[in-house]
Amino acid sequence: MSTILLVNSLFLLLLLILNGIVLFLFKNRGEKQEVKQEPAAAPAPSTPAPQPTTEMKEVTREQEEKLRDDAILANIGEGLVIIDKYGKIITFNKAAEGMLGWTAKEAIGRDLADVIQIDYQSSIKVSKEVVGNRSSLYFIRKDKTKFPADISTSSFVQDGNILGTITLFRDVTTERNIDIMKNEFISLASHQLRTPLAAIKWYSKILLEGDTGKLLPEQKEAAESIYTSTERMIDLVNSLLNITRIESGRIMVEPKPTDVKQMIEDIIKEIKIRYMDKKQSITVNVQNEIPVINIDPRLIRQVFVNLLTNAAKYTREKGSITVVMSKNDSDVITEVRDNGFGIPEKEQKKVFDKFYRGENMVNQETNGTGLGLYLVKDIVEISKGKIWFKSQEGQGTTFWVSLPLAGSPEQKGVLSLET
Amino acid sequence: MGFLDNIQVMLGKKQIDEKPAVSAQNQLKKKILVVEDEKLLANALELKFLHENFEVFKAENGQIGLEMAQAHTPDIILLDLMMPVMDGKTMLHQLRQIPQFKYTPVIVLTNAGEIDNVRETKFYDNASEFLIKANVNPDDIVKVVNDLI
Repeated sequence: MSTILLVNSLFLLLLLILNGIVLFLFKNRGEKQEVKQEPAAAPAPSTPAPQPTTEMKEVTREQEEKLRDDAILANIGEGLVIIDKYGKIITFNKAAEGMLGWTAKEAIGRDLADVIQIDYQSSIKVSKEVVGNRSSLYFIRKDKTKFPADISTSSFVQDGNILGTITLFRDVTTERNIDIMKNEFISLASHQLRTPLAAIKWYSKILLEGDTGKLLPEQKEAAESIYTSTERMIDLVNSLLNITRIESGRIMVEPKPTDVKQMIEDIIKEIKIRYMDKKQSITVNVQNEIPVINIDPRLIRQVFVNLLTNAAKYTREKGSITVVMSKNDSDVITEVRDNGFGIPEKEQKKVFDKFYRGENMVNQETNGTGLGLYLVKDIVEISKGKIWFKSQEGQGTTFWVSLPLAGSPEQKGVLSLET
Repeated sequence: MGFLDNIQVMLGKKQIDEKPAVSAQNQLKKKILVVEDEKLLANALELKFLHENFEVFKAENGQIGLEMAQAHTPDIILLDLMMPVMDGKTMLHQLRQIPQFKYTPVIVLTNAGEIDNVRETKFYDNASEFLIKANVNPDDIVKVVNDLI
C-alpha cells in the first residue's frame, strides 16, 4: 500500500515539475518574440538581445499607439483642426492640408483665423437649422479659391479641463451641386407643367361660362370637376416653385412698415367668405397695442393665410378659431387656435416636413399639398421670426408665430414668391 | 384732359401727353392682338375675346406680332414672353420705338419662370400689366383688358 502511495506522489511531483518547465519555456518564447518586433534600430547582431524590462515595454506601447493615432489622423477623409485655448492651431491633419492648401508645418502655431478664412458673403443658407454644432460655410484656401464646407465643432476636453476646440470639416461641393441641380429641375418641370395646366383651366372655364354653348347640368358638373382638379394641380406647382425659390436662397425679402393686425383682419374676412358654409366662428383678440413693424408683407401674408386656412380646413362645422395678438419686449406674437381635429402626437415632429399631411386628415379633406407649413416655416425663419405649435388629436391645434419688433433684415435677391 | 384721364395718369396708366384713344370710340369692335406661340392658349384666348365681341388677331412670335400690329393697329396687345424667332421682351422694345405704339396698352402673359425679377418686368418698356397664365382665368384677363381700354 505504501509503495503505491509513494509511486503516486512521485508521479504527481514529476507532473508538477514538468508543468513548471513547460510554462517557463513558453513564457520565455513569447517575450523573445516581442523584443524581436521592435523597429529598425536594433543592436548589432553580435550582442545578445537585452532582456525586456517593464519600462521598455510601456515606451513601446506608447510609440505604437502614437503611430497608430497618427495613421488614423492622416487617413481620415475629413479635415481635422484642433486649436488650443489661445486660438492657436495645434493639430492640422493631412485632409485639412489637402483641402485648405496649407501644410501642417505652416499651420501649426498660427491663429485659426489666418488659416481658415471664411467667405461670409458666398455662404448661402442651405440647411435651415443648425443641427447641434453643424453649419455650412465657404472656406477660402491659401490660393484664395473657395469651397463650401460642412463643419462640426466640439470642445477638446481632457481630465475635465477644456483645452481647446476641435473642428471637423468636409468639402461639400458635390452635395451642393446636386442640390442646385435638383432645384433647377423642379423649377424647369414646374414651368413646363404650367402651360398645359393653363390650357385645361382656361378651356374648362370657357365651357362653364357658356362661351361654347349652354351646358346640360351633367356637363356643367363635369367641367367643374375638371376645373377644380386643375386648380389643385396649379397650386401644387406654385408651391413647388416657391420652395425651389426659397431654397435657392435667391428670394428677396423687402421689409416695409406693416400693420400685421390689419393684415390678419383682412385675411380673416376672406376666410370667412371662403368657408362660409362651415359656419365657424373666427374671432380676433388683441391684447396689447400692436405696433407697425418692418416685415415683408407679401411673404408674411402667406404665413397667416396658410395658418388660418388650415385652421378652417381642419376644424369641423360650427367649430371655433381664435386669433390672439400680443407683444412683448422683443416680438409681436400671433396665436392661431382652433378646436378642430388636431395633429396625432406621433406625427407632430413631421409637421413642418415637405409633403407632410396628417394621416387623420387625408380622409376628411383631400385638398392639400402638404407644402404649406414647410413654406411657412421657411418664410418665418428668413424673416427672423419663430414658429411653434401644440396640438392634441381630437381637441385642436394652436400655432404661434413671433415676428421681431426690430423687423426682418432686407435680403437682396432676384426672385419673389408667387401668391 | 377729363377727370377720368387725370385719375388714369395718377394710376400710371396713362401718359399726360397721350393722344386720345382713337379706335375705341370710332369703331364698332375693339381690336385685340394675341401674341402667343402655344396654339392651345392662343385659341382659347381667341374664343374668349370673340365672345366678348372683339376683333381678334393672332401672332405666333414677336416678329409676326410686330407685322400684325402695324397692319391692324390693335387697341390692346396680349403678349407672351417665351417665343421662338423673336421673344416678347424684344418685340415690346421694338414696338415702343414706333411712335404709333408708344402708349398702346400691353398685357404681359407668362408662366413666369422665364423672368426672375417679377417687379422689374412690370415696368420694362411700360408694360401695363403682368399676369401669370396658370393663375388667372380668361374672364380675369377680359376684365383687365376692359379696364385698360
